[in-house]
Amino acid sequence: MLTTLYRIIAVISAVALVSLTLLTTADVVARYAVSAPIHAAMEGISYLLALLILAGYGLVTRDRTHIAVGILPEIFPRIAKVERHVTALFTLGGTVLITWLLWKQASSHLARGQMGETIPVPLGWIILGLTILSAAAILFALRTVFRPESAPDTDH
Amino acid sequence: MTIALVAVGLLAAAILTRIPLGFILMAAGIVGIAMIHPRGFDAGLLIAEQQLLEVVTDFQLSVLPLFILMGVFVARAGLADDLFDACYKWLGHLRGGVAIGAVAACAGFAAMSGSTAASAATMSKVAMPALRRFKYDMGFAAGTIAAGGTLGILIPPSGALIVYGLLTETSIADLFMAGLIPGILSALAYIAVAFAVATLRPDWGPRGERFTMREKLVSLSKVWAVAALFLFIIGGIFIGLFTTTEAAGIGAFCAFLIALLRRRMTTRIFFDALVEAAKLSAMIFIMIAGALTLNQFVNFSGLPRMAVEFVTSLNLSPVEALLCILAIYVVLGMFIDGFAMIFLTVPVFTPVIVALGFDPIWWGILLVMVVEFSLITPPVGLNLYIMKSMNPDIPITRIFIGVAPYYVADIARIVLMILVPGLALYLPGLLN
Repeated sequence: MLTTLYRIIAVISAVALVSLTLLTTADVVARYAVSAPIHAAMEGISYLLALLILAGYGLVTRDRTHIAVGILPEIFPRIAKVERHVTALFTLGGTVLITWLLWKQASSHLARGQMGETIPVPLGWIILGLTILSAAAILFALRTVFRPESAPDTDH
Repeated sequence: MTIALVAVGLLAAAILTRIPLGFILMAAGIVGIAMIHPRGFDAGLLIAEQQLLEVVTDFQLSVLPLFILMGVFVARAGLADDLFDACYKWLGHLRGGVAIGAVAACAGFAAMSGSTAASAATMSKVAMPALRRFKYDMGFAAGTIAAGGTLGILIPPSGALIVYGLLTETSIADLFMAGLIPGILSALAYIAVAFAVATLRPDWGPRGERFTMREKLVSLSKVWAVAALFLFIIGGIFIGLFTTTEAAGIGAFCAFLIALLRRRMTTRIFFDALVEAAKLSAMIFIMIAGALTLNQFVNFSGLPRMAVEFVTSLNLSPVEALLCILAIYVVLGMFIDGFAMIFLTVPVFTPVIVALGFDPIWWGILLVMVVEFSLITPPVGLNLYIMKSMNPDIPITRIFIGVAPYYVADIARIVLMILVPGLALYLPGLLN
């Protein structure tokens, strides 16, 4: 199931990045070619960026490639196993924290019924979508808690 | 004092374990704010959630994934091979010519990539076979590519400069322009070191083949498009044709077109490049969100003011204080990865540097130079270990020895940057 989830998120991130590139380029071309930048391009780019980052966040958590320093297991290889468990637990805690922070923002925007400035979409729903993507990272982090020794790239 | 100790304790935990640094920075920020704000944890969490949402939806920040994508397209499409081929054909016949060609190709690749790890790993794959073929000293060969790879974070577009700009609210366009002259000088300094080493120890760096003018010109025909793209992007930013964000979008799009037209882009490479760029972007964005939360705590706590007062109480001149800070960076750089060092230290040291009267653009370039130095200093020089992992047969101690001559160039250019700030500030001055 997690493998399928990983693939879905990978496709979402790829589509978001392609759309981001095309929209940014088309906006410049339109500005010079027809003296009219694309309507609401800036807001569209913001949404695509958020989609890209939260999708990428799940992939990074799954692959365990977050930026970390980690000199303790290098110095004391004997405690590497304990350190792996502690790191997995803290990583899970971090993903839960980020998802909860996004959920708080989503519920607050939904309660206020706030809409986008130039694109008339409810911001609360967009942030809720980001929260769901972030929740996927929790599943990947949870898997690491139970299988901290496993190689991250064995099941995709 | 207690607050500072809690924050420092959390950061120490990050250094010791492999807990994602972005989480630790965010947690340190939340706890720190909770301890000094009347609303306690509510305030810390509110600031963290606002920073998180602002970071992932900030239009200006789209510059980062787009430039990352451009670099990934160039790397995945194998354009680095052509770059090295051209540099080798023009410079290979010199003393240490293959190493000189590798440094020049690193500089060229850096202009597209913006990542030291990508530069070192890609150029290792491309240049090491030639360096082995001409029986270069393997430590020196690996050290040359490790050093050349560091150019990736100074020559624009640079991921490190973008992150510094975001953390300090400094103009990214100004930083790119500021990095141009020091980046070119750094490449020339490394080339000079390679030439000097090959002159002193001819057995370490023999001459390569000599090619006809026709062969040289043919090699250029393969790299002109990438060179033109670099000039278009940087030139476009310089003359105000487009913003850095727009330049990044156009750069990524054109890099894709170049790879496609040269039949180096398959569906598999395209998809893998997109996913790789997405992952790299997410890694950095989580760090930015954490660092900006910590930034808020640092500002609330008055740490920069206290640090300036401490420096003043020591009766140090601004330059002496700067040298002390640089010394801290050099020591930190021996143990901490460059990007991690930027995220950990910029929120604390940059306000102090600015309060001492230094220019934040100039400091950004100097900081990146010191980070470059840290990438090739043992025991934790990232690029040295990338070279080791790419070339397992070369002992790490030989790589340490082989990279040592490049320290001379690094120290010289850092001193030059302190003595002549205009090297960094001249082009931004023209831009504004």
